[in-house]
Amino acid sequence: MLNITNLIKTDILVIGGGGAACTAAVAAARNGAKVALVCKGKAGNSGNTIMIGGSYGMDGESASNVYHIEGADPSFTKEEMFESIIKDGFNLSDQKIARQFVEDSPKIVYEVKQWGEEIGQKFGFYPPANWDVTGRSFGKALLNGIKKTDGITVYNDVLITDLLKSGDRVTGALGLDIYNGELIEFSAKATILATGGFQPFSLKSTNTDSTGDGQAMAYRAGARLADMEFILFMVTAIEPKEYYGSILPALCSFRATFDYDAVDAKGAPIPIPQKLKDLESVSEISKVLEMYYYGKIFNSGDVTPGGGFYFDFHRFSDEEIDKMFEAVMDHFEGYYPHGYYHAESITAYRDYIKEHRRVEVGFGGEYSIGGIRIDENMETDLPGLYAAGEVGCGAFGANRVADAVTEMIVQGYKAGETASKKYLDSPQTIPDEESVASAVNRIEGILSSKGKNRIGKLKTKLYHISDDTLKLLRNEETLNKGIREYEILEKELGEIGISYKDLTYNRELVEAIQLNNLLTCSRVAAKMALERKESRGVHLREDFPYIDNENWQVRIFSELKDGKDILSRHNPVVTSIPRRAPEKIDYHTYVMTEDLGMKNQEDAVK
Amino acid sequence: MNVKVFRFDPKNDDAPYYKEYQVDINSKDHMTVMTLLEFISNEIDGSLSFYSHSACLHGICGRCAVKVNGKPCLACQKVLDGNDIVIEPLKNEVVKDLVIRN
Repeated sequence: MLNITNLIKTDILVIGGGGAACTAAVAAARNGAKVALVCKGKAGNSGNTIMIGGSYGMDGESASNVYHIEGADPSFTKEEMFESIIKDGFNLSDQKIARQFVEDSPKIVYEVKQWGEEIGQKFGFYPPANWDVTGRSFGKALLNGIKKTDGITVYNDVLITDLLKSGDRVTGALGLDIYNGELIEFSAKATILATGGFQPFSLKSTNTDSTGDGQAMAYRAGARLADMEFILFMVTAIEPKEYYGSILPALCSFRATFDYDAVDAKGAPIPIPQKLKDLESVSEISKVLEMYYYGKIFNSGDVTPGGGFYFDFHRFSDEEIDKMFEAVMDHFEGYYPHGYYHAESITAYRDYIKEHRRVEVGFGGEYSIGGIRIDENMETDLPGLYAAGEVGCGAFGANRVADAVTEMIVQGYKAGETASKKYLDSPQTIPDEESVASAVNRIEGILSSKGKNRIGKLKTKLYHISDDTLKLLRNEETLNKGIREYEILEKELGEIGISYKDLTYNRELVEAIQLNNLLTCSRVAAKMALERKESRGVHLREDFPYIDNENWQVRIFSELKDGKDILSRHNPVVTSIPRRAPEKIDYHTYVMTEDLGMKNQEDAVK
Repeated sequence: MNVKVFRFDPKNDDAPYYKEYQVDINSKDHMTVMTLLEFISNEIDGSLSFYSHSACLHGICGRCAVKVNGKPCLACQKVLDGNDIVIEPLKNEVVKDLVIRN
């Protein structure tokens, strides 16, 4: 029988270790709260935060007029940013959440930059008002913010397995110290989930900790999930294998001077309109268009061994290839050692391309647009529970163009403020005994399971099912098949065997807890994708190739009732930008002709 | 190739020992030590512990460091060439097997 050996009481419990968690902790502590920051990995060195390969920013108006940033372009106004988020989100955003993003971001964007610059991290400015950052520099900046603030206790390498409740209210969480196996009960007046996204695919560019823990535990506790069918993909390396999952190929393609031919498994050119190639270096909307074209190719079966396509360079000379990569290396100069992106050698990647004249790439999961339903105060459906950053949803509707880096810090800070303001003066309520017992039993159940299934095999199986189900271009048949396969997998997951029975760095146990969470997110995402009988944003349906503004200008929520996912439709919150006329529009025509994309990408303004 | 892995569970073992695994790897595969450890764990021996719970896999977080043939490296960045290897923890204070507090 497992026992809780440590009880920690705090005012505000923040779960996560990236941008949303760190800013939430700072904001709550500034309001006088005692904060426990509990991270599955290390705070400031985990999650999607350290995977950052791009930039973050604010509107040009604030940068220019309020923060007097030299070179900022005030013509990129708050209003333009807001309109862009709504339009590029295909009108599914909660406009109050999007407004909070626009209005509140300048302050925290500027402050995190200061945290970084104080400790010598480079934040490279480009207009209208963005800064290039790296995952490491951003993580270090956040950690500096934590260190400067009194009242925050950090618990690293503790996996939160379940939320704990007193009646309907969330009053803490159960943690497993991954290294020493200790079970810790955290008791809190309010809890903020800042645990990041979920990535159920073979190919992804995210940290191994992005397993949807927050979404799944909130769902189990009674909160609703929303917009889970919207998942952002990005061109990601398949070969050479040590680059597998790197977004280096995408970052290369973002340079205006970088060129290649996209070819399929047979070497046949993939017909991509020139407009799309032109957009690659200037707009995030190119991602949506790419999904459409490559999705068609992938469904036709002409995929490479790793499930992707090739960047082909046969028509370029060695000198031309060198030149293209020089532009890539120039871009990263000062952020990483010369010739590197993070720890990955750009020169070795270039030389591999020169030797083989082509390189295999695919579409890897990058960001979960959907998540826990929240409002503009980051409150979930459950009293005492907040969610911020990638774990939540609502700002970006059906497609994200604005910076996820900005999202996490602006929402994290807000969650810390509102949670502490509302709950700091309320009495400490200890979680109900049944709630604690049920959370402990769930771990005990996995550990003592007498089945024969190996967790590693089931994880690979989940990835394969998701690759075929939640893919770029979806249809009813494959979605139904996937949902059935997820159900079978759920049973198999109940019959696993954990080789090692102690809790000390029990890798299989941790993986089993995470896989349960990932499976919950995947199942709900597939059900929402099946339900949405249209194409919108990053959700593309082969069998419904149109945007249906008549029936589907709505968000899908899901609630867990008696073990069943109950889906419902909700009109997005509208404040100033009216909904689209109720008609069906061809998706491809709309994306190719509508003026989409946000004015905040580097080459767009050069 | 032959993979010799340091094993030690301070709670249950009297002393550390090495366990050997036979794995078929071609240098053309560009397989990393991290992928190898996952393969061993998934296919051969699930009781093996190595750092994996919050790993970037791209040399950013620096947390998956081990010693390969006596030399420190990041498991996610070290590429196998098909020759036999010995994998050991980076430091002496072992949590379990290859895991240290890093």
